[in-house]
This record gives sequence, structure tokens and C-alpha cells, in this order.
Amino acid sequence: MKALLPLFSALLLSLGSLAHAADDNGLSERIRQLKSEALNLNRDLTLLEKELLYASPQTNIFVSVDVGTPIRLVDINLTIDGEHVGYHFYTDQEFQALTKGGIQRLYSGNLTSGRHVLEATINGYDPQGKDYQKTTSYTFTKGPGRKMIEMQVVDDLNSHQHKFKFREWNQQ
Amino acid sequence: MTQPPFRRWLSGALLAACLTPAYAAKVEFFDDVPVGPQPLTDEEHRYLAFGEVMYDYYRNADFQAINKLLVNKQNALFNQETDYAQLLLGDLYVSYGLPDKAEVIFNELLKKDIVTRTRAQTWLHKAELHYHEGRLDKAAMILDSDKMEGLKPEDDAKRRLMLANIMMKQEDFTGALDYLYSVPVDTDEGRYATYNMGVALIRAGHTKQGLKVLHSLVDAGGNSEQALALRDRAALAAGLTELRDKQNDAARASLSQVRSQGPFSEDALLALGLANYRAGQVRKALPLWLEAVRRSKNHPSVQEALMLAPRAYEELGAMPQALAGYQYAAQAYRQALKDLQRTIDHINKGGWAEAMLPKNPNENGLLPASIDGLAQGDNKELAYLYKLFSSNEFAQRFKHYRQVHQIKDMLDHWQQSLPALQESYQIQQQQLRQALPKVRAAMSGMIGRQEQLTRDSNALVVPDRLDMSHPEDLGNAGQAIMWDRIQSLSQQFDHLPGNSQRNKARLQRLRGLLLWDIANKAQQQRQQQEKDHSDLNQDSNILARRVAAVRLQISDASLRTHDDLGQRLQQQETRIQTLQKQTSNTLQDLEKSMRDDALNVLQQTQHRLADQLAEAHLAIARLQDSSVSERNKQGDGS
Repeated sequence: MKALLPLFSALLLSLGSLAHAADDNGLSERIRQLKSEALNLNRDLTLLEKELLYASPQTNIFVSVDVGTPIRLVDINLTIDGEHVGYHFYTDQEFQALTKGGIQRLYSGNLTSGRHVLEATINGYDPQGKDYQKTTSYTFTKGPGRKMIEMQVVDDLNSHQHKFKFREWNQQ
Repeated sequence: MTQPPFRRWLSGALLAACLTPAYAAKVEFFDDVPVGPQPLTDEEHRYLAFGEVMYDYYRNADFQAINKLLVNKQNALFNQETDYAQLLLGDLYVSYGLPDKAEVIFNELLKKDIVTRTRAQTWLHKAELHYHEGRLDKAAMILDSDKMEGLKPEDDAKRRLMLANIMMKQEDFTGALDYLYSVPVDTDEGRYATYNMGVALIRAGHTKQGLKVLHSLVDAGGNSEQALALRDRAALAAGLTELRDKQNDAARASLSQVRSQGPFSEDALLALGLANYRAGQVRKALPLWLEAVRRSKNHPSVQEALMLAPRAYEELGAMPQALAGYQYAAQAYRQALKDLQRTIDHINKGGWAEAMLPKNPNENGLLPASIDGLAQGDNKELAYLYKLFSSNEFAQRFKHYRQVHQIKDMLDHWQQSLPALQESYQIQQQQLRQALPKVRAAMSGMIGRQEQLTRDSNALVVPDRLDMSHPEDLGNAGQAIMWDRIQSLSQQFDHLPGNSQRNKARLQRLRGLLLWDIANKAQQQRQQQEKDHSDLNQDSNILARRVAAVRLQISDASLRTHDDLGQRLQQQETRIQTLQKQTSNTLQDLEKSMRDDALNVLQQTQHRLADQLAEAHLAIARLQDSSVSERNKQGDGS
């Protein structure tokens, strides 16, 4: 039985281990350099890709929700002029990110100039967990500059469901 | 976090609504006003861009968040004015393991005239950086200074916690306790700090104080799995300390508080049995060790219990049960050694670290946070390496591995995309060269037509009153045609066949009726005309915007045909390949380092198990020998 005491000391020590970060210095430095270079390369490639794909000013559609909403947004489906252009299913983490003030870019693309109709359908749960679906449409005109549309999915306090509000910007 | 200006405005409006109920309706009214398209100012553009960054930040996609900040910085959208974006980038650099870059940002921010709260937050980030880099004195100096004035309550709690941890590491327990008492114990950070404090005190020889701290954690609330696991861990640590100090009753009381199915239940069963044994209560120790024996045979505490249970039988004089127990233990150790060898072979095969990566790259760390659940299952590898996975050193290394692996995925993605991007560029160039001359030629004619249309539309004026001296302007299309015919008939009536007085009177009556009909519907008709005129103007404006858009596209396309994008895309190939090589080497080194640690742990376990197996065989031999000599004695006696 005496032989057990060292075991308990080891157990106690392992339970009581405090947080210490230690790394091989050479490898750590290599990792840092690699991360830094990877971030720079990713930035440059993102810019080049945008330059190639959006030689002309693009249209962007963003989604945001009321901060701290008790209503759960499940998914969103987007059409422009009747053509399906975007769908997103929200994980808990993504929806939490929206309720904390995050804005999601749901669509980015080249649209012809002129009038367009955007239609959005959302599925969600009300605070009681009951599911519902809502659809809205919004007409906008694309001109020469970049177009930004923010679709705010806000609480409708009367029905305990969501409703939509749109904000629109044109780059001159 | 500093809010972007628009959000500040929005928060201000909401705050005003909350503070002054009388004006709440007014705020809502403004909220509902349809604003229509607004010019995209830098402020609005930053609001959207920073919102996108926050979305990535809160969904733990740090790499994407940093990329968006860098892209917007390169595009000059985020600049020296946007302190909030700089501060977030610094924070993200710290968590991404790039402290040097973070420090540059924090130093730049601190040189500027920024608001007090942002300044305090920046200092806090800088102190955190010193703390993670092991420069504890520097961190403490900042955290304990008036530079921290103006912090938000949650940031202040973070500051106190960091100070408590620093003092704990410097063995200034009195100072650490002072700070720790002000950190709420109902948060995960507070619980971990309290646990660390208790253990640090015990290790420094302040057992009484340490036990008091650990017991305070056992008595604290919290129902989350993390809170309950830490509570178990505190009760176990307290129990083991008391056991070491021969306080058997206190040890039993502490160990009894560990949940019977929790992640530390096997350790607690083993220790509780020993506490009873020490108190001379072998009969009470035995069922606890027998219960432990029924658990997973890969757990070190269970493996210890395998030998303790038959020893207890032996002391109670139950030799056949003791012999069976030792034989069972030997069998279990042999099986465990086989499992261990399989695990070592598996780890040596390679690809072991990659198999541990979570499916979702943005998932909160697999290690060590969610490892508890996995360790309880049948996964033998995890059961043996549980302690290794729980160590901070391994967690840090695995975090690097995950991040470098994410870089590898990013590079693979770009390597696959780059040929497609280059091809798209070539196709685009080809198409533009073909289409541009035609489009340019067609456009000059179209621009003329559109300008004429705008002039005509502007020249068209709808009178502001109903004038029946021009009934053709007031009638609808049918009425206007009829009016034209009647006017024409009236003018040519004398030359037409059948130009009798009777017919002339009939024509005049018809003219009168038509005039009456036009006048009757004039109001409605004028409204329609005004609407049509407005629609025409609108359509004309849209056409003008479309022409402007096409002109811009032509200009952009002309520039595209002469730009060097193709060349710049090609240059990225070498960069991608170089980084791919570096990534592959780094991943190999990281995997090797993690594999060495794992093999080291497994080999130690292998030695321990071999010792235990030998011990079991010796015990079997001892019992069999004593049984034989007992029989011989009985034989001699008879």
C-alpha cells in the first residue's frame, strides 16, 4: 500500500497543473513567419480575385438582425428577378454572430444596370419555438456605381416574428 | 470594442428612446421613414465592412476576420482614423499568435489622441500580450496603473484576473487573493482562476489556505458541464491533499462530493477506497475498488484498483477471491498492453494529428475543452492520452497545428483556383477585345437617342389646369381619335355626299356629346397623364443611369484590356508553391513533436503496466505457493 503514495502525489500534481505555454523557439518563429506570409498572400490574392471578378462595380446584399433578438433565424433564401442567387442556413454560432452586431454578405455579383426585384424568404422560430416563414420583396435600381443593400431582419414585437427593413446605398 | 460611428448613432437613438419615453414614438417614426438610396459615404461603407468583420470574429473565423481587415486596410477604407478596426486587428493578431504585429498596432494607437476607453482597452491588450509572452513584470506594471481607468466592467474583471494569475505565478498569494475575491466565481474564468489559486497555494505549502479556496469552489454554484467538471476536479484535489496529510475523514468528505459518473469519478473511487483503508475500514474500501474495476480498464486509476481489490480480499482472508482478482488483473494488464501497442503503432503510422482535426475549422478548440466527453468513451487512444491532451503545452501545439493546417487548406484552395482565375482573365480579355469596338460604335448612337428622349421628356409639360379649348389634350386615346374624326368631318362636311342640314345637326350633337364625355372624364384623365408623365421621367432617368453604367463599363473594360492583372496573377504561383513547401515542413515538424510527446506518455504507461503485470504475477505465485504449503502442512499434520 505504501507504494500508492507516489501515485497520489503524481495524480495531485497532474490535477494541479497550471497553465504554462512553452514551445521550441525555432519552430515557433517559423510558424510566426509562415502565418504572417500566409496572411499577406491571402490578402493579395483576395484583392486580385476581386479585381478580376468585379472589374465593374458590383452589387452587394447584406443581412443583419436586431442585436440580442429572442427570435431565431433558421435560413434565408434570396432571389433577384426570380433567379435564385443565395441561400444560407445559420448554425447557432453564425446566428449568435449576427445577434452580436455582425453583418453577413449574402450576395455579391455583377448585375445589369436598371431596375431589379429582390425577394427574400426567411424561416425562423419565434420565442416559443414555433416555426414560421416570411417573404418580402424590394425593388432597386442599379446605376453606374457600386450598389449596397442591407436587409435588416428585425423583430416584429406585435407578432413575435421577424420583419424586414431595407437600406440602400449607391457609390457615386 | 469601439463601435463604428453609425452604430454609435443607432445606439444613441435607442438610448434616447429608453431614457425619454415621451420621445420614443418619435424615434420609431424616424426609424420607419423610407430613406431610399443614399450616397455611399466612407462612414456607411465602414459600417458594412466592419459589420462583416464582426460576423467573422464572433463566429470564431479569425483568419477570415483578419483577412477582411487587411483587405480593407489595403483599400484604404480602414486607416489611421478607424481606431476600432486597428484595435480589433491587434486583438486578432494576439489570438492568432502574431504578437509582434499586435505590439506595433498597440504602440501606434497609444501614440494617438484616442478616447479614454479605447486607450485603456489598448493598454489592456498590450498587458495581455506581455502576459502571454511571459513578461509578467511589464504586464503587472500596466495592469496596476491608472492607464486602466475607464475600462468596461467586463474588461476590468479580465484585468483583475490577469493580475491574480501573475501574482500567483510570482507566489504573492496574498495579493493574488485580493484580486481574485473581486472576480465573480460564477464565470468560467473566475472558476479556473480559483482552482489554479487553490492548487498553487497547496503546492507552495499553504495547504490550509489552498484547501479553503478549493472548498469555496466546491460550494459555488454553476450547472454547466464545465462548471461541474471543475467542481469535481476541485473536490478531488482537496481530497487527495487531505489524504496526503492523513486527514482521512476530511478526505472522505471531499472525495464523496465528486460525481459518481463524472470525468474524475475513477480517480475519486480509488482515493476514497484508500481513505477508508487508511482508516482501517478495509470492508468499506473493497466495494469502492470493485466499482472502479467495473469501469474502463484503460484508466490509470482503474488499473491501480485492479490490484487493490484483490489485496483487500487477501487482507480479509478471502484467498480464492483474491487469487481470482489477481488473475483478472493480470489478464486486464495484458489486454491493456496490447491496446497500448496498437495505439503506438497507429501513432507511428502518420496522419495521426490530422485525424484529430475538427470537421468545422471554426469550431472552438477540440482540445482540451471538449476532450472530456471523448475520453469517457471506448476510444482507447484518447483514454491513454487524456492527460497529454489536457496539458496546456499540447493544446498550444495543437492550436498551431490547426492554424497551419488551415493555411495549408487556404493554399490548396488558391492553387486550385489560380488556373481558373488565369483562364477567366484570358477569356475576359478575348471577349472584351471582340465586343468592345461593336459596343463602342453602338453606344454613340444610343447615347444620342437617350439624350433626345431626355430632352423630349423634359420638354413635355402637363398643364396645371383643365383647358377644354384643347379637348384632344384631355381625352383618352379613343376619345382623341374620335375627336380628330369629328373635327375632320366638320371641316370637310360641305364637300361630302349627304351634307344635309339634318346630318350637320347630327354631327354637331355628336361633337357636343363627345365634348361632354371628355369633360366628364377630364379630371381622371389628367391624373393618368400626370402619372404617365412622371413614369416617363423616371424611365428616362433610369435610361440615363443605364447609359452612364454602360459607359463606365466600357471605360473599365478598355482599362482591363491594357492592364497587367494576368502577369500579377501568374506571379502568385511561385508565392503559393514556396509557402506550400514551408507549410508542409512545419506541419511535419509539429506532428513529430506532438507524436514524440504522445509516444513518451504511452511508453511511460507501458512501463507502468508492465510493472503492474509483473506485480500481479508475483501475487498469483505468492498465493499459489502459500496455498500449496498450507495443503502440505495440512497433509503433514494428518
